[in-house]
Amino acid sequence: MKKKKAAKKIGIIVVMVCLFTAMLSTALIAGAVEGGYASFRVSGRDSKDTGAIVNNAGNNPYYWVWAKPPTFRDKIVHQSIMHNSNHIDRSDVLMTYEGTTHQAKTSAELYYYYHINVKRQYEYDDYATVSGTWGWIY
Amino acid sequence: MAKLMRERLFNNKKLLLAGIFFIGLFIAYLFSSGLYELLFNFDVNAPDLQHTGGEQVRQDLIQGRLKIFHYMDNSGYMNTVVPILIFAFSIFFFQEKNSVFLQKYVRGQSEKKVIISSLCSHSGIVAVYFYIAYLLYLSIGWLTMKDLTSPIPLNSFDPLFGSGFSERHLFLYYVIAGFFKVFLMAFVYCFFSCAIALVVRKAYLAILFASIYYFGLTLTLSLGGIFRPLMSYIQPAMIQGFDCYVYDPVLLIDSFRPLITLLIPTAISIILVVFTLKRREKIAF
Repeated sequence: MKKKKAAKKIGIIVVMVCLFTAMLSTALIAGAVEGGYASFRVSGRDSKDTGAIVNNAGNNPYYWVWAKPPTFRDKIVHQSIMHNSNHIDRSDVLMTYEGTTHQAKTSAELYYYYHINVKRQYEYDDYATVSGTWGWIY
Repeated sequence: MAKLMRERLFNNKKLLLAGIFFIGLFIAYLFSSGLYELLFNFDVNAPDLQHTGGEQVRQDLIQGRLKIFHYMDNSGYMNTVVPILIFAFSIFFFQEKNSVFLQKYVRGQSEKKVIISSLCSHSGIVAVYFYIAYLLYLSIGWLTMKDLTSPIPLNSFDPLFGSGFSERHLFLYYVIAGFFKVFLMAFVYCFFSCAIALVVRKAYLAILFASIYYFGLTLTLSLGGIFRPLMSYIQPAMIQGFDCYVYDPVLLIDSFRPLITLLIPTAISIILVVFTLKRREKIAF
């Protein structure tokens, strides 16, 4: 009987700790997105505009892109380009292959919003979902 | 015979098709790299360009597009327009089939020899035309582009020529990749459409059936689903895949993996040629 009660208590504590950690990490991640990086996920052959981030890094800053390495297929190359809110180019085309981080210079101006447009370099290759994150370099 | 070969080699219409392929490479680069937008459609007075200056930004972005890596990245064009240009060459074979073949048979030449030599010479000529155009395009790019490096390692041929081959000899990398993705592609798909032309009664049907195979299979397989495991091996468009995959680790088979896509059209072509040679005209009385 005593053992059962102890197990219940431990169970409740474990669940509470898990919930607390989950809430805390969610808050941390949400804060990080606000603060300077955004995630992207592109399926199939589409190109994808990521969420826009305000440029707090200065005039003509660099930005980085990290591509998540694939699990069950060969790495593919994908390309990104920075756009302003009117979808006009504000950087060179940046090639990134999965599992690595690459960076490029932009023509972004301070306090304006920018996003990147991501697509696979080779649009006819294997159906694949690519994902990763990007942000400004301060 | 020499006259026929000369006619096959220096036909104005064939040269025109090869010229379209060559000019198309530049047009594809202009649009796919975004250079067209920067040259003709860039707002230099945008509010978010006041600090650096619109014209300066435009010049910087144009310089960024003058890289050999972007210049040679023409897979979209190679997979949409170029197959039709290659299939169009089967019209010349079809014309020959309906005129010269009969004269050769009358003179006692074997049907097998006539058909196979004609198929090979037509396909070979297309492949040589396109490969020369590709090499010319590559050479012009090599002389005019500002950045002659690759931002990512292209390791398809590393097992054959040693690690870091594309970093050391990028020009040679493109020459070899071009042999596979232009020369062999043109040869095999021209052979394929000519083989179809052997069994159809209208020239346009050869182009149509070859196009249905190429584009139909590419689009169907790119949908994913149950076809996904087969995709990398039989999707026709994968012949252009020498600079999109980064193999880790890279194996010898990876150097030739895109060539697997050529096996199906080759097999169909052989079947069609054998079928033609075995076929006998049925005459009803």
